[in-house]
Amino acid sequence: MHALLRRPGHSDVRANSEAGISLIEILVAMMIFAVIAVGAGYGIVTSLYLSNDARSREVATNLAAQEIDLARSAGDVFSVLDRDSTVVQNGTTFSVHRATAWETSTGADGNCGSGGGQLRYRHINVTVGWDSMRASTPLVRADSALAPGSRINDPALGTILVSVLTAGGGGAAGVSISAVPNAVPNGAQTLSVAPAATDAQGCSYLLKVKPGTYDVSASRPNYVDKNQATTPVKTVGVAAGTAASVSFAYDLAGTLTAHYATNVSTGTTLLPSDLHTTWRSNYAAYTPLNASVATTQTFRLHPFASGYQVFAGTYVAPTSIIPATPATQGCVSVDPGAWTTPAADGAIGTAAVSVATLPGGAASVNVPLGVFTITGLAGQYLRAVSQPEGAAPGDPGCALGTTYTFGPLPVGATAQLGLPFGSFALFSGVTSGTQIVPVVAASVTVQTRGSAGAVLTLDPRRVVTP
Amino acid sequence: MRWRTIQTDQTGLSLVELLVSMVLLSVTLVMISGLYVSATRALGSASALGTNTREASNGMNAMARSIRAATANPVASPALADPAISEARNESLTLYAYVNLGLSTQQPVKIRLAVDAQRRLVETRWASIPHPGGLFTFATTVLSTRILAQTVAPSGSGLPLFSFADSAGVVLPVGSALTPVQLRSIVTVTVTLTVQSSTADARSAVTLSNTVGMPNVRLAVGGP
Repeated sequence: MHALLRRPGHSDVRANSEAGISLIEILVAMMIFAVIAVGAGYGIVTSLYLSNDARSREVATNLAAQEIDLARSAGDVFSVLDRDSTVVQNGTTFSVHRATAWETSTGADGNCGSGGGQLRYRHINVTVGWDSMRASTPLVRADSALAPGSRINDPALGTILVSVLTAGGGGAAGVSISAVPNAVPNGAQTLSVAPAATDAQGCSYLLKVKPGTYDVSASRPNYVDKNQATTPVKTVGVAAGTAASVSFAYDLAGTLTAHYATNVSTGTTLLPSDLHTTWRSNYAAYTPLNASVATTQTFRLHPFASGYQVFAGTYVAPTSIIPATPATQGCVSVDPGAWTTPAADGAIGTAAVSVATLPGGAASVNVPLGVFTITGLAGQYLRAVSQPEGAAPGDPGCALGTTYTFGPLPVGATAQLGLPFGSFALFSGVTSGTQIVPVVAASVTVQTRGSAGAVLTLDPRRVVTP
Repeated sequence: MRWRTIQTDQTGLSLVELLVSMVLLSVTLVMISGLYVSATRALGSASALGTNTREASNGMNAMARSIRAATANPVASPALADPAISEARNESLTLYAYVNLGLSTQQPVKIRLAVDAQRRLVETRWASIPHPGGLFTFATTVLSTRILAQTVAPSGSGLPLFSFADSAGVVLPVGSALTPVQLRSIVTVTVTLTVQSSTADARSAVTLSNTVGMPNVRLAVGGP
């Protein structure tokens, strides 16, 4: 051993020619071996991984072929929909995704085949992945196209493609669709076949309809559309040999409970009998009338994921100046966020509170009001008329002269009343509709921030502590 | 030391040196042999897995191609054609196919796919005999036999090799021979093929599953 490993150069020079291997030499040798071993080990692991990957890829190919086979065997092309499934095989979980969409004569690829053209065929894209898949490798995919088994287009007739989407953007299934000729039918006729409810992709196809103008409506219990209509109706014109698209944003309503005047803890606040509440979403503002004067009200609204800003009163945005159209300043002061001018003490308006629900969910929200007490008017009626900008410093104003009525006021020396934010002129009267006597400022005491002078100003601004 | 200085050239190994070198040598040997053993094992396993994957893939492709081509066989009487699948069992299947890729003549073929006693998946073909009126019967002598996969694992608790479903997706019980009405109702055949290295060795088993439709049967699959 020593002779074998002896360094030739040393044997001649040194007398101690039989010196063994030093520890350093052994360590270096082991280090070199370790490098080689790591390389070999990596090779082993990779070979195991690759053979497993080849097996999984083969399984995935078969699953994709199966999905295409099943789609091809389906009798009705309209019943082939998007589908996700998982399969466990050889201890690996495979996820199979089938995406389907209509290919139209215009080549546009919209939901439910919308985009103007006639439906031609349905394309199917199957992708299969598995859980231990290497990120850089592609999914197994299979693609096919399905032509309808029978004729679905007619050059003398048209098609209506209805797409119903939920607030989250997915298809709303099971929504009843109806289409009736418009009041001005232009040749439209009552459909011979009732349209099917929407499928899992939220699509309903009204094939071979007579050209003309139709009112298409969607309905499902407890559903509301983005305009808060329970049965939204859209009018669409159908021409011969073309397809018209109708889309609805329609989802299960969320229940929103509003608690009014929670910013005042004392006493019971009476609300006006004609109070509207503004629910402002990214899409539009919705201003329903409160059902009663109770300080807790429930509303069933479209479940926008981004939610609603809530405040009392009807918000009307100012219209921009358009020639030949009278510009209005709208009714802005009800929105606390519109009080952008800081007060002398640094108080400033903050955006109204936001609330959102899931479809079918529930949420509650506190709606602050401007609260004041009024004395000596028991049993009488009261009318508050909103004032335009300039009635009070910092008030953005409500130029529409919106009126709020109370009455008869409850028995007792004082009554605690709530109004949307803004400036108001108050008038009293003994009967409903004859409130013409101005209320003297001395009988009014403001409970929240504001002032009672010639006009009553209810101010939502708050001092924001940094 | 003195002894050492005198006889420097003849110095041997001390016991300590010998022990240390033996320990180091044994450590090195253990590492090398461990690496060698695991490399051999891994390569063996990978090669078995690769072989089984290729075999299962070939078997599945051959079976799926035959089953996809299954067609009912018209007969002179009775009025109804013989069902496309004439025998449906857990591990055997006989069908008629007009897509005949094994012969140059344009004639239908009868194919039996079955697992034999050695657990091999065997495809047997019978040639057809033409009759007037475009009808065919099938020869009793075997035209060709080929092995599609070497060792098919027993199904055990999982799905059997062949399972048959009707248009509603209901799996037909194949405990006893199916009636012609049941055979005609078959729309899809789910093939679950597990190939392993030997009947006793299930370590590198590869399972492929494929639900094969039969477009020529012209029955629709219901459901989504």
